[in-house]
Parts: sequence; C-alpha cells; structure tokens
Amino acid sequence: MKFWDSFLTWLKIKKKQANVLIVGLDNSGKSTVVQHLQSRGKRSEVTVPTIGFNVEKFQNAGLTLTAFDMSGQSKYRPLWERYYNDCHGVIFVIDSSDTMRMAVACNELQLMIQHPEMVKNRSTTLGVPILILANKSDLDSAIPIGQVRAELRLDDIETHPIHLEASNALTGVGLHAGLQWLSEQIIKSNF
Amino acid sequence: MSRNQLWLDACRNSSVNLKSECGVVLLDVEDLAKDGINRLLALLVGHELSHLKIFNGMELQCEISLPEMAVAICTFSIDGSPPGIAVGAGSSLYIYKNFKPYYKYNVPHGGPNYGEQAEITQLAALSRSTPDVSCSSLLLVGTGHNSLLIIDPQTFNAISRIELPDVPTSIKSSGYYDTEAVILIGTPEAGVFILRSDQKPVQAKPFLPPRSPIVEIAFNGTTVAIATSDHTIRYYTLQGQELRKIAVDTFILTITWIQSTNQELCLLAVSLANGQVHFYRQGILVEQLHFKTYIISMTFGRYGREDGTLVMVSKDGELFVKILNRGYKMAQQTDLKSNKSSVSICKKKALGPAKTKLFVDQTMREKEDPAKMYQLFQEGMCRLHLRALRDWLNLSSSTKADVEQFASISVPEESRCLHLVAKLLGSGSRFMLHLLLQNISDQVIDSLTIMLQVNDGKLVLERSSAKISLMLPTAQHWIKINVKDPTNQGGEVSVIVRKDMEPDCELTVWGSIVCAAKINISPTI
Repeated sequence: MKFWDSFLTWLKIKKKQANVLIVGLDNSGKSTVVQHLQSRGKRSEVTVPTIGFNVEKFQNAGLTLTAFDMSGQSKYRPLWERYYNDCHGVIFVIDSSDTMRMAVACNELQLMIQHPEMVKNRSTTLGVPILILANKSDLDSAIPIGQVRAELRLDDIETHPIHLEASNALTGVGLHAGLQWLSEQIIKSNF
Repeated sequence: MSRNQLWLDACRNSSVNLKSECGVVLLDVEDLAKDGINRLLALLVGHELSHLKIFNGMELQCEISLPEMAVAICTFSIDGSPPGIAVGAGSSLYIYKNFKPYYKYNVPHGGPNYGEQAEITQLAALSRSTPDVSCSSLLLVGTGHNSLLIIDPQTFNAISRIELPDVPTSIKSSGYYDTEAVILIGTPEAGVFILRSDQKPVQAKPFLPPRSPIVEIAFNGTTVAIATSDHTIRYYTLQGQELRKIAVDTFILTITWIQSTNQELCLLAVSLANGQVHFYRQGILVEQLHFKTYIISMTFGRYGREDGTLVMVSKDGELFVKILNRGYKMAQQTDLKSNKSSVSICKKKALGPAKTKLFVDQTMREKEDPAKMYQLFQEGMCRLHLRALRDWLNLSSSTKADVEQFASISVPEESRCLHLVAKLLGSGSRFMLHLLLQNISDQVIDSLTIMLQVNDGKLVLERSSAKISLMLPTAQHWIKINVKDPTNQGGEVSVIVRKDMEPDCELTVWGSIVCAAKINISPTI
C-alpha cells in the first residue's frame, strides 16, 4: 500500500501531504492569508480574531497543505509550540505597520527557532523552512522590507531556511511567490 | 540579545514631548473606543493649563486642553457605551466621552467651611459589581474637606460620603463595591486608612499609623506595597501585617505592580531618583533598567493590542514602552540570593503544631499533676499492648481461613487426587508451617515435589522444597517447616505441589502442578 501511494505520488496523481503552521502576532492577517490561499481571491466579509486555532486545507505545487491557523493573542501563544513537532513548514505573518510590536514579533520568532522541537528530529541538517510574510505592505505606515529584515534580525538566523516576502493578504500580492518558495523547500526537505 | 531578558524594547520616543510644566505626568491605559485597542492617556499637569494627550499606538490621536491645574485622572466604564475619562481639576470633575468633553460636575460642598467648594485631591474608579451583572464603575473622589465621596458617574449622585481625619492624597481600590471592595486611602499626616464596602456602616479604619511621608501606594488586591520617603518599601497584608521591607539607595519616585496571569508573574516596579527602575519579585531584585533621566510616571497593563506592557515617561518627556518577554524564565534564583542582604523578612511563620484546644487542655493537665498523668499514660499503653495481643491471637487462630487455593494456577482435572492442608502455628516472629498431604484417590502417586516460595515480605524459610517419592492411597504425609519473620511485618508464602514427569515430555516445565496454596502471615505487633 505504501509502495502504491508513492507510485501514485510519482505519477503526480496523488499529492503529498504537508502540515503548515501559520503563526504571528494578533491582527497581523494570518486568517486573511489563509482565506486568500484557500479561496483564491474570494474573501468573506468579516474576519474575526481567531480563538485557539483553525484548520484549513489547500493545494499548491503538488502538495496538499494542511494549514494550522493559530491565534496570535498573547494568551494563546503558548499553544503554538504544541504543533511544532509535526509541521513541515511555517508561515510567520508580520504586520509591517505595527512598529511598536516589531520587537515582540522578533522575540516570538527567536523563541520559535530556538524551540527544541523545531531543531531536533529532522532528517535534514537544516530546520523547518520558515516563510516570513511582511503583511499589510500597502499601508502608508508600513516600514520598508529591508527594515523588517533588520528589525527581525533575519540575517543572524542560520538554522532554518528563511524567506522574507512583502505581502498584502487582501489583494494576494506576494502570497503565491512566498507559498511557491515554501512548497519547494518542503519538497526539497523530502519529509 | 540575551535570551532571558525580562523586557523587550518595544519603543522609545522622544518626539511625543510629554514634558509637563509641573513635572507631573499621569498615565492610564484603557480601551476608550471599545475596538480592542487600548489607548494611552497622558495628563500633563501645568499651573495654568493642563493637557490631556491620547495616543493610539505611537500616534497622537487627540489632545484636549484644560483651563486649570489638573490633579487626578481616571477612566471609568459605563454599561453599553465606551469608557469615559474623568479628570479632577480644582473643585470640578471634567468628564470626557468619545474623546470629547461631555460634562462638568462640581463636587458638592460640605464640611466645616460650608459654602466653599471642596478641591479634588485624588480620583479612582471602582467596579460596581461583578462583570456578569454590570461592568459600570463608580468614582472615588477625595476632597480637600477631608472626605471621600463615592459618586455614580451615570447620574452624578453621591452614593456615600466618608469622613477622614486628613486630606486623602492617594486612593487605591480593588474588588466590587456591591459585594466586597477594599479601598486604601493614604493621607499626608494621619497614615493610611482602609475601607471595606461589605462592612456596614462603611467607615474608614486606620490601616497604618503615620510614619515617614508616603510616596506611593501600590495595591494588587492582596498585597499592599507602600513606598515612603525614607528610601524604603514595605509590603503589608490586608490585615496590616508587615510582610517584608526593601531598602533602596535613593529616593523612590513611583512604584507599580506588574502582574501577568499568562506568565504567573508578580513583580513590583520601583522607579528611583538615580534613573534606575528596579523590579522586585518577593522582595528580591530580579531586573533593573537604566535611563538617562529618571522615570516620573509608569503604568502597566494592556496597551495597543499587547498585554503585559509597561509604559514609562521620563522627566524629559520621553516615552518608553517595554513589553514582557514571553520566554522569560525565573531561573536565576540562586545568584539572586546575594541580593537578599538588603531584604529582611520581618515575620517568620511559627513552625510546630498549631495550638488546638485539645493540645492546650492536655498541656494544662500535665502541668497540674505530672505523676498522675504519667501513670495514666502507662496504664493506657499496657491496655493497648494487651488488646493488640488478644487481637493477634484471634487472627492467628483463624489463619486457616487465609489459606486459599490458587485460582490463577490451573490444576489438571486428572491430578485432583491430592489434598493439601496448610496450617500456620505460632504467634511471634517464629512460625511453624504444617503441611498435610493426603492421597484421596485410589491410585499410587509417585515423585512429588513441594515447593515453597516467599511472595511478599522478608520471611526466611527453613527450606524451599521437599520431595515425596511415593504416596499410597489414603496415606497422609506431614511436612513441618520453620518460618522466621525477623521484621515482624508479615508476608505471604505460596506452596506448590508438583508432579514430576520425564524430561522428554513436551512440556515447558518438567511436570505439572497438582495443587497449590497461599498462606498469609499477618504483621506482628
């Protein structure tokens, strides 16, 4: 049965399954990103703050991705690490206009990459690929992408493949380029 | 970045210009628009003109000018509408709603100087009842006529008026007015007073006698921290008992509690005149921050969308925002012990048994007649020994009942031709185990092995096996085995009788179990 599955996958009839964790501070646009990826542009009228987490499925580049859309409120953030052990990729969403909480976003990112579950038990030497979406980049108050890179100290991260992409989850700018990179990394890591 | 720092530097902004004429800035954070984003209120106190600045994140949302010298600010909630802001200036309360002036309320005059308006000295808000009933709050207004007014901000009726011996300059409250609220009132010369809403009539009772002038009172619902101008902070319980004392090097400017339910953190932030802010956990210094100029005001709570934010304003009008690090671990307990020298724990809890009524009565009797008490004790001890021995004899004579057939070990049907009786004799640490084997079939049984095993307890068996080569029909065979119980804790012995077979039989064990028994030995006293 396993052989049959891999044969179908090789034929590209059956798609590979991967779990993607979507994290970030509250009000950064995680649920909007998931909605856009799932419905290809169609958007529901209102997005309410997520409580706990939501699970959604969508497909991209030969992968069936199960997205765990986690709540970003500070009281739910300890929940994130419960899902680290079986995730194949992470999308970290940042509100580029929220300059005050950039330090908090940086700290949460550091806490995540230093978590033992994200480093150990991986077949590859590198950790889980992390796609960072600098969301709300269309706003006037948004800080430039270079500054986001500096504030999050992304150049110091060597343990995980990292990709930073400016995005706008309302129009979908940057989402597909970012997801393409993440899918390639997941396939490359040969989970 | 050190991994284990307590605070994250969220923002430092000198362009907001929070420099006030009098050097006093009062801060508060509240969700003023009911949109989940907490705004920062900064009241810049001036002699002629005071300014109220409201910030949304790092941006100034609005600025309101007051034509008087303001002395106090607080926010209060009203059912079904966004929270209001109350500013006390002169003898009036200025109420703002939706960032606009709403009402000006003149405090009713009273006291000896009848006809003269009372100046407001302090303001605080207190929740009226539990959030499931109503979330509206009451205003506590301290006036220059030595009284505390409790005002309903919806109708502007004074619910209660409490007379005090001195002018209230500091008001801190916790709880719900309708059920159980605690209000602490600090005065410049008459000490601190406590007021409980569940004790009728509501009146202020002395909490602490006057000592050095009070700088600030911080109250987190259970513990009261009082900073005084003699460079000390004392912690008190609500009963007025001193818990601990912290001595610092220089003048204390302000203190505030930092409590995070997510991280189970409870710290006291202390701003000092040398530009440092110290953070104490249970009286031990865990962290300190350094600033160019000293911090004159700070508030802790939810700011913007982030819980656990500490907002500070320096003397130069610079605004600092620090956010609690979620990954902070209180691990440095050991190296902080050295800082304990500055901390003295005033009251140690008494160790030893609580003085119950029984304990006290017995001590009294022993003091009155020691000889009689000793005799009584010895008599009781003898009775206990006797009773224990009698019980033990009853128990050991009924040990036969404890002998039971092993249910778990299957005995072949055809092998049920042997009768086993096990008897335990003796009452002390030495026992005699009598085993009676009887052939109840009409056949001759040969090559039997009796195996004994200690299952439980520290029993010593004289031997662990016995062999019977031949048993004629209806024949009886007695086996006597000495059992020692050196620890007197009892135990369990199992007896298994096995019929030996030839090794070439296809069996995992050489032979089959014919019968078995289990003997319980009760603990000896």
